[in-house]
Amino acid sequence: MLGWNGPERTHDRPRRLDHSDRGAPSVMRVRVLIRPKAGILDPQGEAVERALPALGFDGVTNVQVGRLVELDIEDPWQLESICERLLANPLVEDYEIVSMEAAGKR
Amino acid sequence: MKFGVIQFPGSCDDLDALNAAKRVGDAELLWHGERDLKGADAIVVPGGFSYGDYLRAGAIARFAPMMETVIDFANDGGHVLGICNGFQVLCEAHLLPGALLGNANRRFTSRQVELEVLNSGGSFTRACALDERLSIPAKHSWGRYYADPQTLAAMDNAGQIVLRYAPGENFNGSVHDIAGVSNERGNVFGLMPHPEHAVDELIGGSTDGLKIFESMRMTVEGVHA
Repeated sequence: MLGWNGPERTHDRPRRLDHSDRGAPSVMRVRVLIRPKAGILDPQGEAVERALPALGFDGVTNVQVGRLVELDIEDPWQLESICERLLANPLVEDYEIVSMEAAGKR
Repeated sequence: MKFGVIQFPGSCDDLDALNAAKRVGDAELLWHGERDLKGADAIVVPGGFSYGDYLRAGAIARFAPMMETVIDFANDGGHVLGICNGFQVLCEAHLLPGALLGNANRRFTSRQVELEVLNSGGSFTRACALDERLSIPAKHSWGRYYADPQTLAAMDNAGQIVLRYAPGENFNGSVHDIAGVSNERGNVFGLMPHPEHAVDELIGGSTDGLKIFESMRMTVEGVHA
């Protein structure tokens, strides 16, 4: 299963709320990719795969259709619980944190 | 007895469920944002597109205030029926095992289906005979039941696979032709077809759906078939 073990360990602890005098807390921009679990029929993926040859695109296989959720989060340690409890249904979907970076100014 | 029928934003079969329930007992609508069951003896989570089915069908509805009450009610042994979107909500709330996925045929399908009763001893089918066929409409695009093989084996042993699509009727690709399942305790039941749409001969030509509501009445009132 494509779980997630916390933010990339470049430090002993992940970046938490930044209470320094620099002002705003550090917020992370995160992308979560959610896909059907391997072995579970993905009719959307199959439909896309079957449509491609009609457009002249040959040799495309193993198409899967999932969804991408983007969010800004103050405490990345909450991500796993967020994914397991709401963003994905772990019975039928895998999720993967595909990117995490400091959120830009709004 | 009194049924409580939950009404979410996006419910569309709530009034038919209310009508069906009123044919066997009292019934009242329960607004999703409230927490009071208003004295209901059993709960119906109706069909529709609660909260627009955003994210996944049932994923948001399970966190509604009324659902928190219903989860406690079910955990205390209260009887809860989930129909179509209600079945999806109950799976998302982990009151029922498994999940509902997009139909294998990728199409919204609306048709009458023949179901077989595999367990007539349960709280929701005791007005039925074993192997009896029920003719009930189904209409959904997200009704392919799935559970992993280990879960299915345990469910089968425990009699939790209550309704099955008759041969040739499984249009959505559900595993083992499963149409309706209960929890292990037997007090929560969900199915994709719509018993509330099969309660009047004039509309649809079948009253088989009434048997589900009648079974619930018998269960709550302690009547044995």
